[in-house]
Amino acid sequence: MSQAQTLKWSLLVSAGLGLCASLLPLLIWGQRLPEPLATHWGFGGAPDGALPKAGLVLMEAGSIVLPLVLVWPRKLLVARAPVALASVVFPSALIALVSMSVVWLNWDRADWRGAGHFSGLLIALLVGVPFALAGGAFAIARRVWPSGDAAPSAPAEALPLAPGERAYWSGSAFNGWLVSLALFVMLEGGVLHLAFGKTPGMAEWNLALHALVVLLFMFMWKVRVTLNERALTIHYGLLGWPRQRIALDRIRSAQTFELVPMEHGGWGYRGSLKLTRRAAVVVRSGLALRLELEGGKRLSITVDDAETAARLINGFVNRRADPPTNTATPTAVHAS
Amino acid sequence: MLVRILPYDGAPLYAQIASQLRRAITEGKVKEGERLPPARELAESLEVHMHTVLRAYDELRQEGLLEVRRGRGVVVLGRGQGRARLVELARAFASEGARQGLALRELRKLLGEV
Repeated sequence: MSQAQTLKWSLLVSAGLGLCASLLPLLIWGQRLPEPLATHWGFGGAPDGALPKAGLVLMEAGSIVLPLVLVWPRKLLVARAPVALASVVFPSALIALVSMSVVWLNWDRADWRGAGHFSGLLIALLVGVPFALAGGAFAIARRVWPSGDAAPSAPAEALPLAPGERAYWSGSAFNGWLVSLALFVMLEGGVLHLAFGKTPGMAEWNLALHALVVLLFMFMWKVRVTLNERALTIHYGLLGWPRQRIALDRIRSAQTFELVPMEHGGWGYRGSLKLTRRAAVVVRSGLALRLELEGGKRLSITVDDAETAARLINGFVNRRADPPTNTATPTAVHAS
Repeated sequence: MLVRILPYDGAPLYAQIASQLRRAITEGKVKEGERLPPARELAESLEVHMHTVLRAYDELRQEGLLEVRRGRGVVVLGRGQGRARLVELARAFASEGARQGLALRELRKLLGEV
């Protein structure tokens, strides 16, 4: 079976299991449940909304099938397999658990208003289990389909540097969308503040969370990368702080590639060089610089003019490995 | 934006830096309204004195390619790209004239004729 086929089957099986677990209890034990069913619970945990069984069945089926249709593999999908699988597993697990909770809480009740209360434990279960399953599916898919990672491409052609020549490069990347998104989050924080500003505890949490999100956006609005013979430095945000410095003697080679944010788990600083040995600084999609570091680590950075940076890095690396001399030394040449 | 210099090459360092920056502007590697790196950063990277970089910036400012804005740093001007190209051509014209032994007055006259 080809990789794409295995992926398609995994997606179908996940969605199928989700559909069975969601719909079968409703269909089998329909007679023991009230009509309509309690399907919504208020803040206190008491039921405050109902839906006919047929409506619930349709909604559940739709919530599982829609993501499946959206991520269904066409061409490139193997590279995005982890995301695709997680986006099917998550709604499947969530809907299945919601459906089972609905059946359990409505069990043998004459009227939906008499349905059982929703507990905090149940909420924790509804949030935790789908996240855990989707995370697991993501991790497994990553191993099974090692994505674009596996396709090695050649390092960029090295820029020839004369002995004693000094060089500096700087480039940046900017994302206007993130600016709009940050403004939107600020607006949302403001609206929520108007709504909950008087609720004790809520106001502080609301402001703190939104301020944190806006702050994170600010660091990822823009990156600037500077390079000299000693190090490559990433300057985050409009202030150029914090900074991340990567000593040049840690870099083995550099190349450019077209970065797709979803393959790296979205925007921002993704991954960890220490834990997963893969990290990406994703400000936008498109042209990016990829550094192969010592110890098999890999750092990707979206930055304009990455081609020049890659060539200059390889120029520095070559000159370090093979200091230019006046006498030409014969080297073995392998025709490729 | 790439800046390369070769010390002990004959040409003064500030002139090498200015010419590299001019090229970056002509080629559109730095665009209108963009900032050039802080002089200190460039100086540290190229292992030259900060005044060397400032002198290069000043030369480009006099050529009308840059503007030094208080608190905003050194910004590339809108007409910078076309202007940098003109300066490059004028330099080539002047050096070719010097090679052929023409005086500045004769070069000016030649420019007036075309």
